[in-house]
Amino acid sequence: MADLTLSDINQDDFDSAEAIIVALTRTEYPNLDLRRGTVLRDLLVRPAAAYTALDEKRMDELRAKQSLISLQENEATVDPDDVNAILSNFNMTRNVGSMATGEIRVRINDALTYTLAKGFQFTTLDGQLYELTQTYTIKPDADAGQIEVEASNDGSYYFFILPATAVEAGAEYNLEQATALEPIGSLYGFIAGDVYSAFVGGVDDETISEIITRLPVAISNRSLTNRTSIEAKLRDAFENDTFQIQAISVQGMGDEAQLRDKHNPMGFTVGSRVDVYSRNFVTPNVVTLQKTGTLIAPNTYQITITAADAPGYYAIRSISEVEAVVSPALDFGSLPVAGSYAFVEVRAASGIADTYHDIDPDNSMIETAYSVFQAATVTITGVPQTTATRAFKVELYVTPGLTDMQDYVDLTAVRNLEADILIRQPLMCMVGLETTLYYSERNPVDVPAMKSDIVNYINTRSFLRNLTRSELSSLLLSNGATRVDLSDQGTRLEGSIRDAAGVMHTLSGDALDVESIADGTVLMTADTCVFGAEEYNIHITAIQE
Amino acid sequence: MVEHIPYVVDYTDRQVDIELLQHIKKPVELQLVHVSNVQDVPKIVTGIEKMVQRYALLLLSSLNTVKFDTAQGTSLLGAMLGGMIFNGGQANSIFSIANIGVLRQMRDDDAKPDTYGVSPADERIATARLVDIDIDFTQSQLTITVKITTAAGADIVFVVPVAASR
Repeated sequence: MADLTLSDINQDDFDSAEAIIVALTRTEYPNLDLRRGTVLRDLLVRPAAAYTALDEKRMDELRAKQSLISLQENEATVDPDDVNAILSNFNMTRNVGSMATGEIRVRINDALTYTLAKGFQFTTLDGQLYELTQTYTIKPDADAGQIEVEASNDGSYYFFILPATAVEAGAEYNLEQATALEPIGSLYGFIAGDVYSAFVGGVDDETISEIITRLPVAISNRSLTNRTSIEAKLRDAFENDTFQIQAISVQGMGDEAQLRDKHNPMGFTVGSRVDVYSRNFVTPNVVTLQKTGTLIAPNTYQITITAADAPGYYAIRSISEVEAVVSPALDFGSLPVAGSYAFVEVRAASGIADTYHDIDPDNSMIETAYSVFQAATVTITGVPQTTATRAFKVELYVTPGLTDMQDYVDLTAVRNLEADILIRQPLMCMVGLETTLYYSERNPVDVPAMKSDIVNYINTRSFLRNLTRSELSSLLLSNGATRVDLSDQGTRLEGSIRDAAGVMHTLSGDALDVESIADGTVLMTADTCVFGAEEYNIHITAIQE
Repeated sequence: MVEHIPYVVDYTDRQVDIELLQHIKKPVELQLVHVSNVQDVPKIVTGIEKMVQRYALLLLSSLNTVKFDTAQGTSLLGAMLGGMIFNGGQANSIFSIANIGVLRQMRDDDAKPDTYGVSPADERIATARLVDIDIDFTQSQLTITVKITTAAGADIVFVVPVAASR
């Protein structure tokens, strides 16, 4: 606003101001001649009109800056400080985007020793940059704190795995596994690089629309006493520049998925038990572990996933060789993804003897599901080698920050002494879409952008009853498609959900209707489920017509 | 019908303007404006004098030089300073075009009584006719003598001396 000058005034602004000045002046001083050509007009009216117009423009800008709705109209050019200035009235700040993090597998032709400095960068073919956030020493027989150079199973190359972070915040920096990367600058012996653990956690800056949606919660009472205030308190405590809560569902007394407040012989609902399902991610967040399995039968290994390994994880995405990069390009939302070893997973409660939380020992697997009190034993089959122990790469869908949130609501200074609050990862309906659309020659469509929009749309659908084909086709039409084939052959929409008992449910048809398979006894209702999608599960065929 | 000015004019409640160049007695001759030159009491003008002043100001303003009113003024001064006047005929031609523009600009505002108030007949211009043009190349001076007739019928002849910037 301070930068506005007379050069920013246009003719209409000036003419309006001049008419006002003439009218006001003549009201008080009718015998001043203000016509064009008079000295008074040149020396009095014109400068006054120019500065009045400037003041008016400044006031317009000020008025615009006092309204989020007005700022939203020009969101691309809005100064973030202006948004935060409004939000400061409500003790809020805008959530800025976060940077995607992941791991890069670097293949090299010899077991060499490297020192890669902090800031060393890798790039995708599209030019997106990722860098090391600390200096790493990489060598064979690495010491503690160093990165090991390992040999591939067939001995044809060596590799090491580097943690890296996107250089900028934004969802476009999230990368799927197997995406090719190259170092910026020379790296001796370099053969190839690709994404080992998907880059996730990249989030765009909070939009003004999202802020407006968040406002009611942000300005509500912050205490752990009701749904709105619980959400407000958790958002207040945890949301910052690098951590965002995308959606929260609070399940309490009377809710179908609330099992823990019926622990009495008659099964009455007694209240004060609260399960909070917190979606702390936009794109499904994948955590990669390296676990050592023990041979328990020919070609069969067993691993354990402790509560600390992946707190409250939703499902195992894949189990593979340590060096493998699972790239399920032809997958359709099913779990585990193609390329994974087959496995059997048995979950159980962990650590409930040491907690005050009310969990029924007879139903502990269900009641601790997706919480920090969950652990699992996984039996992996079909593994070719039969060494006594073997390392595996395990990918799991995990909502970040679950342990911190649980610890927070358990604090004596925070918790309501009459309440028992358990934080859970939401159940996630992984969506697959296959569709055929048509476009005109004059208006070609951008299929990658469409896929990205579809994924972003699905990943913002949380705790809703359903996701429909018409919603997605509307999105495609708004991206330039002339029509979308909505016949059964033309568009296929599927989703799969894992309930707390470990059963996978598949939804399909015109709508993925979570309510149609809702079952509170396994914590699966519309209020506990969110929709999630990854780009490799979206298949779009675009035909020119 | 022509409205004649009486011998005695009552200027009470007339709209007034500030006199142009009031502190500079001889604007063309004075090369340096010193503080001692600006000690006169400001003077206001009305009636025919005010109208003539408006005419002169508009005639001697150049087009595109007034911010937010680029149509104010004429091309007279620009033509002269640009060296486009070589003889009386050219000066006459350029003045005629400028004169038409000034009359139009003055009449535009005179025709808006709701905005600017009612203009008495002796403040409304009827015609402006070129009486004489004198070009003094040695002094780089163009002297234009114009005869203005008001809507009330009175004539006034005034001289506009303009020096070129050399």
